[in-house]
Amino acid sequence: MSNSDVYKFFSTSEFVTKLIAQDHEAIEQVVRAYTEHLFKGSLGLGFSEIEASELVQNVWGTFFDVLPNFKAKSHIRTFLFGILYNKAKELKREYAKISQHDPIDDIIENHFDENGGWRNHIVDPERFMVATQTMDIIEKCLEGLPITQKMAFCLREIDDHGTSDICNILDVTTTNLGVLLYRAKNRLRECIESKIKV
Amino acid sequence: MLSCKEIARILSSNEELSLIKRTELRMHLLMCKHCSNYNKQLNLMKEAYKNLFKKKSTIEKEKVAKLENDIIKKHVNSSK
Repeated sequence: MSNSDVYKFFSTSEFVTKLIAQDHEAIEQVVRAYTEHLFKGSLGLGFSEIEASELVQNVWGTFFDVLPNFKAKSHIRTFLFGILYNKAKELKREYAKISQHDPIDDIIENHFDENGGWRNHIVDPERFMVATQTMDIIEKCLEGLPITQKMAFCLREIDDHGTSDICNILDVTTTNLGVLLYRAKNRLRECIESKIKV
Repeated sequence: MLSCKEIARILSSNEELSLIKRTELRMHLLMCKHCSNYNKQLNLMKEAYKNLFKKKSTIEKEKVAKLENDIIKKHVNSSK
């Protein structure tokens, strides 16, 4: 089955019923389908491999515990990522609340003049590319993102989740998701660009 | 007319646009070197991070399989 077939199959009421009844076959199917996703998602949040393994086991533990009360309102995948996100937040002890003001906002603001035109030159994409091909640079820059921004960026740009899915997982509005992506990408861009100039 | 500042915001926040706005955005990118470079940088970034995770995940296959087995075993044991 392709990914989207699996996705649809998991949302059939027949499957959900089996899953809630803790049917071994159904459990094995979801575990095989989403463990890798969750593991990669955890790595994307900056956890080490060992931490990521623990985190993923933890997520499944919680999932099995709450399964009897699972209401098929959201898709299993969305539900799992929701658990992952909450656990990650607890571990990183960061507020998920989107702050009204983020220092990156001022940095972006400063790039533009009063008419909204660029004040300074944008680094040539070819020079920029050299930096994006350096693993060390892009890994370090990603580490520097606040966790909510990192999660939004990874879900959107790496995992290709849809907007409504991400909003569910992060429990934010579409507008707030836009703000998170805006801050995440500009912060990454500034970080990568700063590595070229030196 | 959209300013460069607005273009940058639209591009980085993945804002969904109407057909008219989308056309305006495309025209702007054709004419404005700065915004076009900015857009190229964002695309390069996306590529770079996708590659980073692809590289990471190829090594993890065996680890993931082991993790899956552990989780399933644990669940079977706990429900006995």
